[in-house]
Amino acid sequence: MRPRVCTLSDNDSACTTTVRAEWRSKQNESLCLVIVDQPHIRRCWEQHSEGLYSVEVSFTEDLVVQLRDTELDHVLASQAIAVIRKALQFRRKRRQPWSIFY
Amino acid sequence: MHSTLRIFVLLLVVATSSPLVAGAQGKCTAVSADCVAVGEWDLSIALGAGVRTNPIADRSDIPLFAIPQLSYYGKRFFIDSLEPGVTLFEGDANTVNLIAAPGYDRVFFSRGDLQNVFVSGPLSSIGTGTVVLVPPQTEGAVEIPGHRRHTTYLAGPEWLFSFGRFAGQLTALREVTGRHDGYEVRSGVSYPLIRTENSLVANAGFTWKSAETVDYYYGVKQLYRPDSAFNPFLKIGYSRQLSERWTLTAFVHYEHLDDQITDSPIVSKHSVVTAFAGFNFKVF
Repeated sequence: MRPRVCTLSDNDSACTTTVRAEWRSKQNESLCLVIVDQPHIRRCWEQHSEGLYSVEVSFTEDLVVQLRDTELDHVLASQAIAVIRKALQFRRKRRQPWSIFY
Repeated sequence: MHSTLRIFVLLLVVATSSPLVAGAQGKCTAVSADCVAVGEWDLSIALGAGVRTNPIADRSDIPLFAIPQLSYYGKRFFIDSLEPGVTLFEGDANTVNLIAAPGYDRVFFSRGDLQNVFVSGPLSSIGTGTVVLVPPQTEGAVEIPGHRRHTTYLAGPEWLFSFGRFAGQLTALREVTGRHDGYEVRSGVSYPLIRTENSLVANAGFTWKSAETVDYYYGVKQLYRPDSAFNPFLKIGYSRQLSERWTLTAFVHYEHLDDQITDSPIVSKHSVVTAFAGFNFKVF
């Protein structure tokens, strides 16, 4: 699955990215790909040995992508995209008592 | 090494190794008047009215209308308006930087100098000038051509320190653009008199210029060769934050000129006064 990590700076409110998920099996499978907390996103395959799905998603917390059976009862595989918030660093401004203007 | 610089290096070693200078300001955890975000540009511009008096004979005073302040602070590298630098050491009460700064005195000879920021009227370089010993058309009158004062840059170490509510600065610089190889020591101390929604800060300090520096700006060939000069100054500055981006600002700066400068035949005043009042706008 790509990406595996999304980095948010202080100015960003959410990660918006295209998630590309790919699965492969030795035998034909019937299964569905879902994203936890995003019920409108679902992609199902009927008797396939591999599948590829790309979708643009917006999220603020770790995004969990799951492969489930067609009844969506059992989780067959799961992977997460981690959200990392980039911390701003701060330092002291240069104070110049000698300066005329500042 | 020049003896002044030797003393300065010794002071730096003491400053960074001893707890004598106390008054920690604490670590920065957010953007404030004293703290900036690393890796971000900041631009402010003060718009108003002001003047800088010109001590050079027959030169007009310099009006001031807009004073920009552009800065960038990386983890160690920074640019503070016209002064780039590198931070060598940063503690709670002491900071040591290596900086480069423009030679200040050129502002009196060239309206186009960047340190005059935005000025009214056509930009002009009053480069050379002449010195007339006695009034023209007088028997025995002699005209001695002056010389052009180029933009110069100086470089050297800077020590910033705090002690209680005092903030201090001591900078030792040597001219590195090959014009006069002179030295300058710039020092100042500031103290906040009022620290409420209104801010009133008093500053005092001095500039010491070596003989080479003074001679470059105020000497006259064959006629006047000055020695080093010591110019003390006083400044009082006021500000009041009106909103997130707008601040009311005003200051008056008085610098007394050493006799080595005022004795020059091209100098007609004993001091320089800079005053400005206006509104500071934080662009980003």
